[in-house]
Amino acid sequence: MSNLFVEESKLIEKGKASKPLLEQSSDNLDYIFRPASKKKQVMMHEITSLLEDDPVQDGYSHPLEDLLKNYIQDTGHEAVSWIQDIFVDKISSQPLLAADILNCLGRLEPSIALSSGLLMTYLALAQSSICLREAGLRLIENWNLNHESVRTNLESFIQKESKPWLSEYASEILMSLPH
Amino acid sequence: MDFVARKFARSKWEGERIKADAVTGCLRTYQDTLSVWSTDNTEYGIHNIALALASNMDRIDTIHIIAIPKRILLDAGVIFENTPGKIPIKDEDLVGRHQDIVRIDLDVLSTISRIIHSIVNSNENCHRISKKTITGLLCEAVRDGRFELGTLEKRQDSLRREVQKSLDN
Repeated sequence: MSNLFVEESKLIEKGKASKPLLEQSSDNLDYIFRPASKKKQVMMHEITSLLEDDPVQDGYSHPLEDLLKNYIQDTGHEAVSWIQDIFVDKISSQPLLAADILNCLGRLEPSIALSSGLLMTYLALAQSSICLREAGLRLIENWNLNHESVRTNLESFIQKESKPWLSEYASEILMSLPH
Repeated sequence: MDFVARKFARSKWEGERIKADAVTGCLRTYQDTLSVWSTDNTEYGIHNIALALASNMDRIDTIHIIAIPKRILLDAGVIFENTPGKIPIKDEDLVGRHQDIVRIDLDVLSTISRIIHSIVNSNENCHRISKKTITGLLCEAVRDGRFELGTLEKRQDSLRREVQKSLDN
């Protein structure tokens, strides 16, 4: 898994991923100098509000996609780790909320949160919640990565999955991944 | 056409209980009506419904479609009305397959929920239509002149780009 974090660091260095904090616009200094824990709380509140207002639907964009994208673009790698923390925190207590976070993250460009996105996905695939397992598959399908760890995790998932339709879905995704 | 089809989030309907999130997420009514499509439940028929649904989507995602035997709904007192589908597909037959379930109250909503839950648990009549298949259906409709990308709304930019990219390849 550590290789994935190295890959994302490289992307950040190349400017393909999130912007460093000091490069942000100075028109939001209050936000920038707010303590990180407070910002994470604000993010959690915003995520919950958006999902309570409107559940994520297949085939339709959701405002959470822009929220996550803007947080990552404005706050950099720190925001990615907050998203990951919130996801891990909610994975057992509110699996549908965690699944919707993953669904929306999976609709963004992979480079925006590559290693965290994959880590969250692999966690999701191992959960008892079917919504979470499906969300993990959807992220893999959307990101369509040529990545050995993705193949390994999908193969392992297919062997263990109890729901035939999820297992078939995973098999189709595995077969369509680029080589 | 012995079945009516509707897009739904299959994973929310799995399990012994009917979860409120499944009902409120997948059976959101407007003016006490619910939109469904008549189908024969064959692969061709379901793909046509997928095309109709996809042409109104913002983006291309894998979707789930459930086909409910119409007789079960009629026997339960569910009322249907023929209403032309509001889709950007030039296909009178497809447009004419749209129906509304009307005069829905709590009892009817509960009945429909129980029927869907039962179908999901029986593992029959649930169809997963992949991103790849949906893209192919939309491209085919563009090629045969039934679907014009230029008629799509602004919110459908992502869908338009994906279809155009696939047509160009």
